[in-house]
Amino acid sequence: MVAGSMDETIKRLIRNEQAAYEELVAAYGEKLLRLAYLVTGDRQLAEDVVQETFFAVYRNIHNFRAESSFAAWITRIALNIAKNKIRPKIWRKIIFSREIDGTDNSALPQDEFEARERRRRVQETLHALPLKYRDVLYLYYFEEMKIKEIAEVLDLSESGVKTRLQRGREKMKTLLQAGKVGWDE
Amino acid sequence: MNKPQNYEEQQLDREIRHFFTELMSEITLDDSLRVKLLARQKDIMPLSSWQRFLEKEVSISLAPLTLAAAAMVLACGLMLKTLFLPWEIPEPKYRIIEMQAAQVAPGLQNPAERG
Repeated sequence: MVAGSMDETIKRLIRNEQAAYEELVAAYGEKLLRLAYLVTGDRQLAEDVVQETFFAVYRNIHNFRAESSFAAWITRIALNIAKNKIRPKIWRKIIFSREIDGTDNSALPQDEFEARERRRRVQETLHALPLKYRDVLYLYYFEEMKIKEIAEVLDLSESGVKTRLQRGREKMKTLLQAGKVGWDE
Repeated sequence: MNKPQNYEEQQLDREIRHFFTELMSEITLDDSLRVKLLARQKDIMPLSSWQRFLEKEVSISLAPLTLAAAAMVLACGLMLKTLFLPWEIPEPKYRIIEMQAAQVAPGLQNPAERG
């Protein structure tokens, strides 16, 4: 969604137009869901985060200031809500074990077993990566955002983003090797 | 030579990209969630002007607030005349004494009374 059309969408949101809300969900729904999943590691929690984010955005649309882009603003809201969800450590442990123990013990076809094992290793790698590196790496490698944009979203300096990227890459290298999560080129 | 290091870094970049792609491959906005988000929207109303005013954050510096509070206390004290001042309260410069005129100056008696 380009900046000019977003300004128009914001005005229509303020006027409480249903179509504007649909456009907002179409433009940001999936992105925010993935970001929330990145932080929480749980699909259900991620859906809750997305719902709360849109609720907050719609209620507070009048407070949006043009100092930052709308994408940065809505992403920041989603990240804060997601991080608040996982704040108590015990909660995070419960979520993680539920993900692992959800497998049944009946015999599976080999392919399905291998796919499930691979998903488990990918999940473990994700949870082993500290959150402060997770969001920076995700926004840089998956969303392909620029350093400046990431700094705006995460409210960091550009040098801070670069430092976290560098350290995150080193951490990922270790984790990918340890978790045997690799890809043949 | 830098070539092997660049290749390793590029390889790492590719692996990180693949990692996130694989992680997010099943995370999509399905119809049920889309319906939930749009249904919820009907229950949400933007904040009214009064609610926005109440939620507005107002920042007041401590020093001016302290000075203003002290000035108000002084003003109230002066108005009520109950404020204790460190310097002396001025005493009245005179006091009324009841005296007989004859005690003050016998020579000033009324001639009619002299007989």
